Amino acid sequence: MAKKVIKYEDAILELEEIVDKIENADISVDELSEKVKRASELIKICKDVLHKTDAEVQKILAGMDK
Amino acid sequence: MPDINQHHSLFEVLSSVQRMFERYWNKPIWVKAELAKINFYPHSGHAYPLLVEKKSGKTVAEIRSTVWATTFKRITSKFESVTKKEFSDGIELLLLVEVRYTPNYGLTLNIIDVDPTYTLGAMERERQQTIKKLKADNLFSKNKSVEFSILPKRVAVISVETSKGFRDFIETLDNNKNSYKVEYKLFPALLQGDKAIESIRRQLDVIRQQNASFDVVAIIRGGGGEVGLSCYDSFSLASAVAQFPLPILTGIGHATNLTVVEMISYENMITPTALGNFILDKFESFDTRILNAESNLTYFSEKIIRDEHSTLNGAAVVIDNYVKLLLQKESFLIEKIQSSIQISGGGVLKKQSELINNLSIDLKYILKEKLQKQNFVLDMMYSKLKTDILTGLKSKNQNLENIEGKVKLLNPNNVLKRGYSITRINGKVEVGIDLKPGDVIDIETYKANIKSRVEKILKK
Repeated sequence: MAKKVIKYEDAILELEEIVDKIENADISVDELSEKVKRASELIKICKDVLHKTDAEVQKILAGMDK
Repeated sequence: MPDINQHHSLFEVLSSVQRMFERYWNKPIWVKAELAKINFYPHSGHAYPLLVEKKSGKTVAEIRSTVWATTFKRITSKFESVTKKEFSDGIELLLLVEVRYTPNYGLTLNIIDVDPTYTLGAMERERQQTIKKLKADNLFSKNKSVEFSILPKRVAVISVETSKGFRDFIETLDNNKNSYKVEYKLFPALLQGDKAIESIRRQLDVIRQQNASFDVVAIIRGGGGEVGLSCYDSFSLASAVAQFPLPILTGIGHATNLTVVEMISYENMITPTALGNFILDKFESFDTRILNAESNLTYFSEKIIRDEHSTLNGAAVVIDNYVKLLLQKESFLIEKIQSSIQISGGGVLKKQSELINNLSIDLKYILKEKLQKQNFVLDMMYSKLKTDILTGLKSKNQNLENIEGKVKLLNPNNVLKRGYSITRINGKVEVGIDLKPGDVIDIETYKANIKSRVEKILKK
């Protein structure tokens, strides 16, 4: 399994943690752009999970039919 | 040993047995029994249920019974309308029967009626017992405390593919307005009747082996009427549901009391559609969290930058103000010093000038005074002088007069008048000291100058 795969639970928790950090200004301006970039990635991951077919799941489901 | 010549035909014997049964079992009686197998023949409509009685799992009595088609129709519909339970294998029954014996078919119980309330009581007892046992084993709330995935994206569905409930469920999931993609996999099972217990349990076991691949299990039934749901009150199924590692959602869809499985499942929804919407609600709240995070991310990122800006601007303004203030202060200080120099400088000058003025005044005064004094002295001297002079003049005058008198007196003429003469030698008065005989002397008398020669000198 690719190491890029992140569970959606973890994704949203990390996302909310970043937002929380930013929200409480517990972050330096230097870190900001890096965190925003990461948050955007996570948002994309979460949205993909919501709206797209999870290939991994499909594989498992297909495997179980055999 | 019986006589071999006294024999009977089989029919005679069995007819005699039949007569005996007719004599002693001539009234219908109520019998408590378990329906082991219904043996229904759809073609004729008759049924030949196998009735048993078990004691600690062992069959202690067993008989084949008979229900004629019309009776079967009547008693099953009566039974099912009261108990909401299928008239099928495994149920406890209170039956009104006639004990019949026929030589050709043997012994049978002819069922003529049923008391559904007995079964209902038995069912309720089972249900109560299931609840009690679940509670005693700490299983009653077990599935409710299983962690529910933030996003129940992968759903294992236990249902029947052709059922209305399953169709409603997947339609709800597939046609959601937000086009969320919910994965689901069907695990077909019987959903009603006593066989459902084993059928559902078997599929739960299959899912359990894949449980990492799923977030939630949905048991979906629908369109099957209200009969045959007592399986959901069985301890066997309820405990399997309670102990399942994933949350189990139920959408069994009926109007009577909640079954035990519905009570103990993670969440129960009345209809499969409602169950689908329950899952979609979780998607929506996940979505909302993302949207919130997204908008907060934007808002607070901008805010941080804005804040930094205003902090920097603020610092610039503060510095500016401070510098201005400092300059102002310095310039004020300089002005103050300047003016104080002016003031004090002026003062010094003024003082000096005053001093000078005073001095000059003093000087004038002193001079004046001195002059006055001198004047006075002079005046004094003058008047004294005047007096002195006058006095002096007077006295001098007197002296003069005295002297005049004396002079008058001393005037040789006057003396000469009286006879005296003045002897001079070479014009000088001579008194006789250095005269020698022969010197010519001039003798002056009052009336003449006589030239004479010295003859002799007589010393006095």
